[in-house]
Amino acid sequence: MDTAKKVVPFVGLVVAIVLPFVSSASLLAYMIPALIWGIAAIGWTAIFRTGQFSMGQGAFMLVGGYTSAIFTATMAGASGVTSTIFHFPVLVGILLGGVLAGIVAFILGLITLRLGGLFFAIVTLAFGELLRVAANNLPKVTGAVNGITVKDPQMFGLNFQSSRIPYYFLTLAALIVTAAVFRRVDRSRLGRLFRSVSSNPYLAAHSGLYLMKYRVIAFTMAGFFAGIAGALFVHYLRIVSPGLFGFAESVMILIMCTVGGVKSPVMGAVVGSLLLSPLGDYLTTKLQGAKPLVFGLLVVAAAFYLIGGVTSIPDLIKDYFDRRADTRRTEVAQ
Amino acid sequence: MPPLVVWFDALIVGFSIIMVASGLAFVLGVMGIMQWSHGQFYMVSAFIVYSLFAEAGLNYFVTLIISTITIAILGVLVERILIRPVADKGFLASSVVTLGLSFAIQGFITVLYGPNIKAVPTVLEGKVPVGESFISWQRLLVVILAVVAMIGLYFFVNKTKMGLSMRAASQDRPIAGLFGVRTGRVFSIVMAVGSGLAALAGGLLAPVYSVDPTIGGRPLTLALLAIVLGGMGSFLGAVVGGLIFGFASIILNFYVGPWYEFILFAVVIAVILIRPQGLFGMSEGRV
Repeated sequence: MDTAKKVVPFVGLVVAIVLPFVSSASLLAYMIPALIWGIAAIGWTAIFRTGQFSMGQGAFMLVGGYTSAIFTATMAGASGVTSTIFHFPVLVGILLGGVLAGIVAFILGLITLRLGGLFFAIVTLAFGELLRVAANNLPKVTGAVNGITVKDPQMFGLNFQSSRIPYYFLTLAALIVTAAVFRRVDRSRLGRLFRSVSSNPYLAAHSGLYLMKYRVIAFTMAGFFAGIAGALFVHYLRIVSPGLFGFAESVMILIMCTVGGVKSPVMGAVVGSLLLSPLGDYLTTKLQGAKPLVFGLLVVAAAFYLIGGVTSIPDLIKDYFDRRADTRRTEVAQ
Repeated sequence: MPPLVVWFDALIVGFSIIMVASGLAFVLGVMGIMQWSHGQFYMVSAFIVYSLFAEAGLNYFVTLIISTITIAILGVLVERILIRPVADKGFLASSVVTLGLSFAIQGFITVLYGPNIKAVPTVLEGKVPVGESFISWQRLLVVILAVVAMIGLYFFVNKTKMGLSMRAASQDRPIAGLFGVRTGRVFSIVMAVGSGLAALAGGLLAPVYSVDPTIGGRPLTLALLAIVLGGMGSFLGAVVGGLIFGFASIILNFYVGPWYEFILFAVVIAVILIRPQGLFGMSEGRV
């Protein structure tokens, strides 16, 4: 089973690289959002693994998306937003989006993670709501309801206009970097500290750990990558508007992680978003409201019957066969 | 000074928040569980009123009673079937379940009714003159019924035997059980009352505002902030927090427009920083 755990990500990567050359463009339209949600979902898992429950990752995606849009937009938006001051390349805009989202997460974390728990969940939820209001009421900066139209990405001399393939690889690269960072952190001393903060906060505090510090670090990291994800999404859709990432999207991230599994730092979030994001997009095209209905039922079912998520299925199968082998051995012995 | 009508508007918003928040605080205080689908109960109740009153043409007050009882039963079922099995697994498991439920309910209603905004006609025609302008009876009804419900809830919790059981179960569940409190039944009743209050608010406000599948989110957010402001799990805190929130939102809205939400949010942040137990909460050790 351990070899399988090493082989599966590798096979997945090969499939992901080959995929755009053998598949239709419409499949990429499902895959690109899935990869982007994966970035945000990995961050949520990291927060969860320090024992906190963020309900506002969508807010950081909104921060990242707007930042990147404002810094890169050169054409007049639908509502006459003209940002002629900044002409940053898209890649710089996306990074700036991540940085600003990280700063916002850092400040919000300093305030709310002192208490954590329910306070944190409520304040992050309200913060998302608040950002939507702000985006709606700052027509000079955000273009209010109409949002900002974002130009096509231009980098490395690639043509982003006629094909989705370059953008697919950009998001894939971003997801791989995110996964590598969080996996590395999880295996480092910091990752062990994160786990001790969540598994026994009292013991951790008595061992001299300043709990809030580690919660804030995880929250800031997640905020940074949520900002990147939001910016990537905005440049994919080529428009950003206040309703793009709201409460529903924040909960969707949470559902993806829970269905995928939160026992692993990266795999669960990636598997969850790869499964659920295309499913959600497909359901939305079929029937209004089918997506939240199915997602809600899925996460309730996961909480009851598959608490470790989809990624725990191999372990469960292994356990089952181990137990069967054990009972057979005792039967033979008797 | 804002005109008198604005003050009355504030009263209505305040009492609608109070009804949602007190139900939420009640469930949180006794069961120790954050019921994230509380706002969806409000929304479903509004849709029941829309179906039975605006579409089928039943008497409004009958539909109000029907929707309140239906949602109360729904609340009990949710508690028995969904929350109780995961209640011991802690805040996160129960949160995930109720969040999923909230998503599923919203999706179900959207599938059933479509995402469009629906209007419920006004029930009580006629207006009461206040100063130079008027307030409709429909809006006054919200305030009157909310006050009655709050007083009823206060006496239920503080003066009846069941209320005593609830307070005992909220303090220490196993010990209360040893003294003969049937905690399972207590939790069912708490859930029924809490959900019923949300349903009452939804049914009362359906003719005042419009109805669509997303209306459950905002009352929940405001109620949550009111609870944080008043003190987590405290009934009095929820009432005072809700009133402060209702008044502050409308009065500030009059002066600064939509930016009032920022001021309210800043106040909540300040409360969290200075007095995390809220205005009326007990302080307790935290990590």
